[in-house]
Amino acid sequence: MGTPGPTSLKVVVDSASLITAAKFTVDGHTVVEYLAQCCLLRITPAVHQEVILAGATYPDAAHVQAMVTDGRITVASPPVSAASVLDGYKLGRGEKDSIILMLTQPDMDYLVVDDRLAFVVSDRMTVPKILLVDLLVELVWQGCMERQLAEKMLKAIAPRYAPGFIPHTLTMLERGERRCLS
Amino acid sequence: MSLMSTELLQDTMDFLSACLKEGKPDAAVRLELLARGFEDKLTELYEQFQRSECSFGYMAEQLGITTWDLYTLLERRGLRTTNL
Repeated sequence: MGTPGPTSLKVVVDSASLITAAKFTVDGHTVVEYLAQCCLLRITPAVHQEVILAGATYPDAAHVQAMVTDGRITVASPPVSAASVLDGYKLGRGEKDSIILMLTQPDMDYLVVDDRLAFVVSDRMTVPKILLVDLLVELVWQGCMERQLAEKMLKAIAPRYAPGFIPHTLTMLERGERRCLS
Repeated sequence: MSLMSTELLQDTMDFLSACLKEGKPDAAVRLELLARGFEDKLTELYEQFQRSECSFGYMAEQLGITTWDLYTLLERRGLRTTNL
């Protein structure tokens, strides 16, 4: 599989989205492998610990570790980890550090986050955030990914989402706009 | 911290299971209490998660298990693993 081009999106990936992208496959490759072809993927040490090191007995976690080892996913520490405001929320270490990393690395395009509380807190801090399903849409619209491939991935990861998300996303791809009602 | 808690929990369960095999009946009671405590905490946190009062990562940390373990646990029970 290839590597991202110079105009690729740069994204910080949180645990929940990373696990989803690591668990589901399309045509023999995991979703995270396809993402690594068209995005620069960055995770915090806390997410690395939560998803990869602590999950070492899971084959999917080992697969993501291989992507860290070969550089397709990079691990970056936030300059600070103490955040009393964030500590007031019931967020995990990985979610808090991912938000801090986004706040301190303005060159990153999005925080990929699929947890509702983490999404809302990111929004309150004006962190550019995106659901994994919307990242796929963005990649198609930026010409970084084939629409048919994105559709296959959406169908693969459908079990992770509540009703409404996948059909809406497929309609977005079909119509070429987010504000579609039917 | 999460890994440490998981190891401690596993260690306690292994210890109680060994006691049970050796014919110490109180081990069964203690094992049941341990499981019940975990179940109570899981139920409470899962309700908070569904109401978006806590995140998935927080729930795993508080239970002392990995995020993968939590996914597996919830999936085995047919529970949703997302609050979206």
